[in-house]
Order: sequence, then C-alpha cells, then structure tokens
Amino acid sequence: MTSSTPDALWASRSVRLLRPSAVTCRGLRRRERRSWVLDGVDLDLDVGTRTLLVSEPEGSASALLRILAGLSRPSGGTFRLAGARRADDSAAGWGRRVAYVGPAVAPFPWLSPGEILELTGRLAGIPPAERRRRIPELVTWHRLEAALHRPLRRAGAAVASRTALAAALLTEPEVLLLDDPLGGELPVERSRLLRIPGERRTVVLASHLPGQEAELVSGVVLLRGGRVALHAPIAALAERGLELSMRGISALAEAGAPERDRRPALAVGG
Amino acid sequence: MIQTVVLAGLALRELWFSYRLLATLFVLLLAGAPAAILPHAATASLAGAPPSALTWYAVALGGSLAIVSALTAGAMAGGRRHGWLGWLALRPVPRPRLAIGWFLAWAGVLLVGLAFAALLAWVALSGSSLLLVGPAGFAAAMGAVAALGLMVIGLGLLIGSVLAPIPASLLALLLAGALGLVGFGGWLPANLPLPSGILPLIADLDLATRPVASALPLTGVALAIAAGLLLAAAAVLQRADL
Repeated sequence: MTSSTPDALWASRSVRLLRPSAVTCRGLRRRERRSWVLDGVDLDLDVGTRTLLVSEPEGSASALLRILAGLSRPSGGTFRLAGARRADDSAAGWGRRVAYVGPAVAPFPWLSPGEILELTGRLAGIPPAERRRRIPELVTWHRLEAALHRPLRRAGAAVASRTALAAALLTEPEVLLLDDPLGGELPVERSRLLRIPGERRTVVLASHLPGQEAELVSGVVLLRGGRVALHAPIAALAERGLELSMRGISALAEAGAPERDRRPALAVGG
Repeated sequence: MIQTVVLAGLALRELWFSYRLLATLFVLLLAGAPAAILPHAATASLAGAPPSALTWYAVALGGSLAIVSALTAGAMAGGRRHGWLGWLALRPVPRPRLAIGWFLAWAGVLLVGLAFAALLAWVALSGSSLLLVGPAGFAAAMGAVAALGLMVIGLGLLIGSVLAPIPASLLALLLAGALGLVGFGGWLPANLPLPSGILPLIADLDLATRPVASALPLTGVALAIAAGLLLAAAAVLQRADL
C-alpha cells in the first residue's frame, strides 16, 4: 500500500497542483436506530485542507467521522483515507497516518497524561529516542506539565481532552479527524491548540458551534439528510454576506454554493 | 507479542481499579470455604443424607465460575461502552489482540484464585475420608476446573463483545450457571465429555478410582472450546462498533 501523500510525492510541485485527495467517500451509508444517518455521502477532501463538518441532524457528522476513523462500519459505500482503503492495523500503517479525537473513545481514566502519551508511542511502535523527543514537545505545547502524572479522573475534563489531542498528534498523522474536540477549553486556548501545524496534514473538524471555528478552517461541508448538501470554501460565505453559523451555512446550501474548483484527484496505490 | 503483554497489563490494571480483580479472587477463594468449614464426613452414599463438604465445594466452584463469567462479560461490555477499547483500537491495536489481552488478564486472575481455592481445599480435606485420591489426582481435577474456567471466560468475552454491560453479565451468569447445572444434572449421556462434568467428579472424589484419566479428556475439551470462544470473541470484536 502506498500513501497518496508521502513526503517525496508531496515535495513535488506538480503533485501538489494535482491536489491528491486525503479523504474520499463514495456512496457512504450508515443506518442507526432504524434511520439512515448517512445516506450516500460522496466527498473528496484535498490533502492539506482544513474542513469544517456540520450536519443536520447533528449525529451525521459524528457518524461519518467514526466510520472514517474505523470505529464503526458503514452499511454501504466505500471510503479511502490517506490512500488506504481500510484500516490495516499495522503499527506503521493506518493508525499512524489517521488519528481521531472525539467523544466516542477515551483512554482509561486511571491513566495519567504522561502514561497515555508513553503508551500511545509504544503501541504505535515509535522508537524510544523519538518518543523522548516528541512527548516533551507535546506536553509543553498542550500545557500538560502540571497534571502530567495525575490520573485523568482527578485531572479534569480539560486535561483529558488536551491529552487526547496530544496523543493523536504523537504519531504525526496525515489525516486528523476531530469530533467536537476541546469542549471544556476557553475559546482562545481552544483556537491555539486547534491550529494544527503541518502543510500536508488534512484536518476534518466536526462542530456544533461553527462560529467559533472561523479561524481554523478553509472549507465547509454540510451534511443534510445524510448526504452532502454543501461543500464550499469558507470565503463563499463572506462573498454572499453570510456568517459562519448553521443558519449561514444552510442559507448558502439553499442558494447554491459556487462550483467547487475540481481538478483530477491523484490516486496512488491502494 | 509486546503489544499483547502491554494489553494484558492494562486489562489487569483495569480489573484492579474496577475492583473486579479483588471480587474475582474473593469469589474463587470463597469456593474453597465449604471444604474448610463443613464437617469432613463421607455421607454422600447414604440415601437422604445431606451433601458432603466435597459436594458443596464442587457446587461452590461451579457458582464462582458463573460469577467470573458474568464479571468478564461486564468488563468487556463496559470497555466497549466507555470507549476504552475504541481508544486502544486507534493506537493502533488489532482488535483480535484486544480480546487476547483481556483473556490473558482474566486467565491469570482465575488461575491464581483457583490455585488458592484448591490449596485451601487440599489442606482442609487431605487425610480425611473425603479425599482418598493423591495430589496428582486432585491436581488433575482442579486443572480441569481451571480449563472450565477459561471456557467461561471465553464465553464472557464473547457475550461482552456483543451486548451492553448488564444484559451481558446476566446472560453470561445464566449460561455459565446452566452449564454447571447440566454437568451436575447427569441428563446428558455419560460418555459425552461435557467440560462441566468435572464438577460431579470433584463431588465424588471420595469414590473416584481413576481421577486423572477422567479429568484429562474434560480438560482437553474445555480448552478446545475456550479457544473456539476466544476466536469467536475476536471475530465479533473485529466487526463491532467501538
């Protein structure tokens, strides 16, 4: 299996111009509690894009992220993430290239942030020397020093969510799936932490408060009735004098978004 | 291999923090209590006589294994519900390895608990008219009980991979309890090597002539079924929503 976005490929300007897809969904369907939360999602997200994912009803966006993360199985359709068709379980594969932070998963509450980061590194097969270099950086960036050795259940929800984000970034994933992350943080701190570095890192951020994500995303996807009702750049909202809110996004979808600039997606390997 | 060991260690710590480890050891130790407390008179062969201490010991072992199965199912289902197994699956840990890690942790606790229960019974009963078999015969019988325990742990993991915690615990308790009852009931053909058949064998150890030869086939069958249940749990976990 070859990644669609290895460093060597990404270094080539021509490849960047071709806009390889980091996330590709075709006819993705998911049935939950006798209704279709996803009913044929077709979606392409280019490498390096920061996309806000919202949905009506709210559960659809979370369901899509859970499927992309490999936590749930789709009822139908296919998807491809970072060039891989499905989770391969290998330490060097899917788990290091795709990361998920969301309410569907949580580490054991008796683990401390330090133990979680160390455990994540070990299970992902990151060499000890690399772990010793990266973990302190993440601890500092996520301001976990004070609670580093305190169990999560005593450290509080904010530390738990920051630890989850730090653990997700430890493997330097190509695709980062964030389902309403860092809910307990102050907006300023939340914005700082969610400015995820990495030019070729693709971030999909599901949020029920789109307004607070304005500085973090470049595009928006609206799922309505389980399908993609809108996929547009954030700038399209401003062009029509709409604000980044559910109302504004819905209005843009109803008005008809500008045709998204589509160029052939590069599919390598898989 | 290292990943499996790490997972088994995590599962053990979870058992410790959730008090399931202590509960399991307590229940298994309690199973040895009838052998130590009740009078050591061989009365089973007399019509209308109360069951002997050995019979109560076998009954307590069956009951404790049913409880262990329920605890296993509850722990597995709880791990899924709280998102702990999902978090590990994203690390990335192959899902079948999660089932193996949890199985190893439970197996370790079970073996320690049963070893204490067996030691208690042996110390209490050796030399009495109830226990005429030697250490090898008694160890073979307890080995078969341990294999039966591994089987009910596999059953618990399988049920816990499918159902929510409370239904999973209740169903595991019911099925493992029914298994023990079937073993005692003697409703099945005598030549059918049902793993829970070890329980009546223990109850009749004072009459047993070849305990090792009787226990070994039951051990083999129980281990084979335990392996099958573990594989089934791994396969179910592979497809489950975490």
